[in-house]
Amino acid sequence: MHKLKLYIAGSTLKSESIIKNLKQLLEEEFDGQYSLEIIDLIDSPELAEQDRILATPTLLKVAPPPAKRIIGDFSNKKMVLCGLDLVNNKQR
Amino acid sequence: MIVAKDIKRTLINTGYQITSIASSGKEAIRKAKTDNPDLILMDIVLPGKMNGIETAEQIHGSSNIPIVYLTAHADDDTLKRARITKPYGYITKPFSDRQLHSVIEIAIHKIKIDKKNAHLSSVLRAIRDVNQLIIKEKNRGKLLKGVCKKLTKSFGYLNTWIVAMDKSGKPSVYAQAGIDKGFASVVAFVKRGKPPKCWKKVLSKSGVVVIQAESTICAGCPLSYKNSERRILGARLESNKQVYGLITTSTLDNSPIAEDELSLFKEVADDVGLALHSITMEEERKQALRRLEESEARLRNIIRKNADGIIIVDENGIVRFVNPAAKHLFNRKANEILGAPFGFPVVAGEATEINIIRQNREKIVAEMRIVDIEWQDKSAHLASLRDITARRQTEKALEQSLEKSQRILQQTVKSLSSALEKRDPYTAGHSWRVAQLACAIAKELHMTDEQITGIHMAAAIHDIGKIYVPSDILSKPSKLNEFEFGMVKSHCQIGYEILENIEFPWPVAKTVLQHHERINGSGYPQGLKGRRLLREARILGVADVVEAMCSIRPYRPAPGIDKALDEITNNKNILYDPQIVDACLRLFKEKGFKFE
Repeated sequence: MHKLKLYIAGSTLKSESIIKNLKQLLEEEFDGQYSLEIIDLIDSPELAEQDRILATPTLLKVAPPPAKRIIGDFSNKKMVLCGLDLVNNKQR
Repeated sequence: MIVAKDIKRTLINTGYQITSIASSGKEAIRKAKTDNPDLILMDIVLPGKMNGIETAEQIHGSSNIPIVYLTAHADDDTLKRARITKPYGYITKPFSDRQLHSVIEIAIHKIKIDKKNAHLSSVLRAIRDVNQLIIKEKNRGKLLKGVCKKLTKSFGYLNTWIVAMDKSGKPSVYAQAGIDKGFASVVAFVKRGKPPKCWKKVLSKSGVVVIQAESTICAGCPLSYKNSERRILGARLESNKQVYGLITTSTLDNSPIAEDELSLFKEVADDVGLALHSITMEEERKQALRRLEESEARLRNIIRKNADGIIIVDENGIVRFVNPAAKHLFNRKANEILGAPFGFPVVAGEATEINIIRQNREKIVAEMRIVDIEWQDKSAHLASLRDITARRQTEKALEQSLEKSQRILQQTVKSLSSALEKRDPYTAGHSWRVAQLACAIAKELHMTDEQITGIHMAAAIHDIGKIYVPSDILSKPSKLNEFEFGMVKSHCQIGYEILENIEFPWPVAKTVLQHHERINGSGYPQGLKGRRLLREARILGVADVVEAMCSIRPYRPAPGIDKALDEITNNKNILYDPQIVDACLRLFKEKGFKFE
């Protein structure tokens, strides 16, 4: 099971589209075998502080290890999976 | 004295030379100095204050001339005293000629062996000294000078000189010992491009080159006066197939060359070659390192002074560097950012927008760009962050002001349109319905939203010029005469004149001017043909005809939509643009378009 956390800063058109794209990407890659927690740091600043979030959007891979985080543009599937150290998951 | 003369005669007969005979210790010391013989025969009992042993001690204080003692009373005590002076032999009186001869022969043989051993040990000492020097001395000039000195002093060479060359083979460092003044002229010759001839010969092969000084090679050499009756040894200084220079030494040529000597000389030359090689390598390494450091310093400086915030993160997304602009952007101290997990930056295109969360939880919109770099020998990512909050605000303000001005324009158009409808109730709603159809056609033709907005504006006021046409003509229930029809036709030109000074972002005035033009040139006011008509005007023309035929006029009933569609179908490609006609037909026949 892949456990991911996405930090956004406020609900905007842009953050909505990031969430939508990301969910689609994860669905394609993991067939529902994942959990994605979406945290708006405007609502939960203490969580953001705990995770030392410097900027958004930040995506954290909590499990499987190793823990990884990426920041920026999550539109390119290959780059996202590569950044999270999840390349060729299906083949594996 | 008698004994001495007898011995002299015997020895001369056997083939030895006798340099002198001394009758006292004092005299012996003086003659040893002036004659420098190969061997001294010394009687232990001498006339005068000094005995033979004391004399030998004094002679050995200033030279190494070997001594053989002659003695009559060889008691233990005397022998013990004599042994301290390290004699090369003893001969006890009385002795035969044969005994004398063999003692001297043994002594001379021993002397030869001692000399050879002494020479070899000095050579080994020289090699050791040179090796020590090579290990510790990293300065080319000092190293070569030191080697020359050591070889000349302890190897027993008369002089030594070394020339080191740079990579291109140009002499770069000169060193010598035992030549002094004469060397300057050699260097001067070299600098004029005329190196000594022996140089070329030495450089031409890898072994040791031996040159006899009287050979033609030395003719004309500024050092030849020093080298006459000498022999020159020379060798290349090389390592790793690179020649770093050459070394030559000179010795007196009266002794045969031992094979050992050549190989030891070669060993020294190779050691010096290796030292020059490692110095060169070290210099190159340092230079490369310096260049790297310089370029890194330059890069650091560029990064540090950059107006954009720059952070460098390692492969794990941990911040390893932050410039002052980035500290300001994050509103955090360096130690709060360094070592923090920024994350692995992902940018799919040129740049991406991120929100920087400042220390006070304030949010800054920034544009992030990524460059892959090497940082402290590891691959890393440089993220440049530009605050675009101001840009976003300006863009938003511009957008708002544009929206506002468009709203004002739309309101203006609407006012103009309703002013016209007030005068001509028959055409009330006509403009809006034409606009509805024209926009639908434009959409069907995949025109952009911008273009469609422009068409809407133009359609809404396309008959604005009718404001100048007397209302009784507009509402005349019978056929218009030529003059009246001319008045009606003028509404296109007048509409254009009303609108042309309004800065619409779309071609509204021209569309209005051309909406009665037809593609075969039969329209008015200019009789334009085909593509010279704006597409917007061609669309508006079709929409205008279709809507008009669906409406009642003072002078006729409404022909209806079927007649209207017949009209455009029949005149497709004649009066009306075929693509536009097709789009209009699709709207009514397939897509259920209806006027509101």
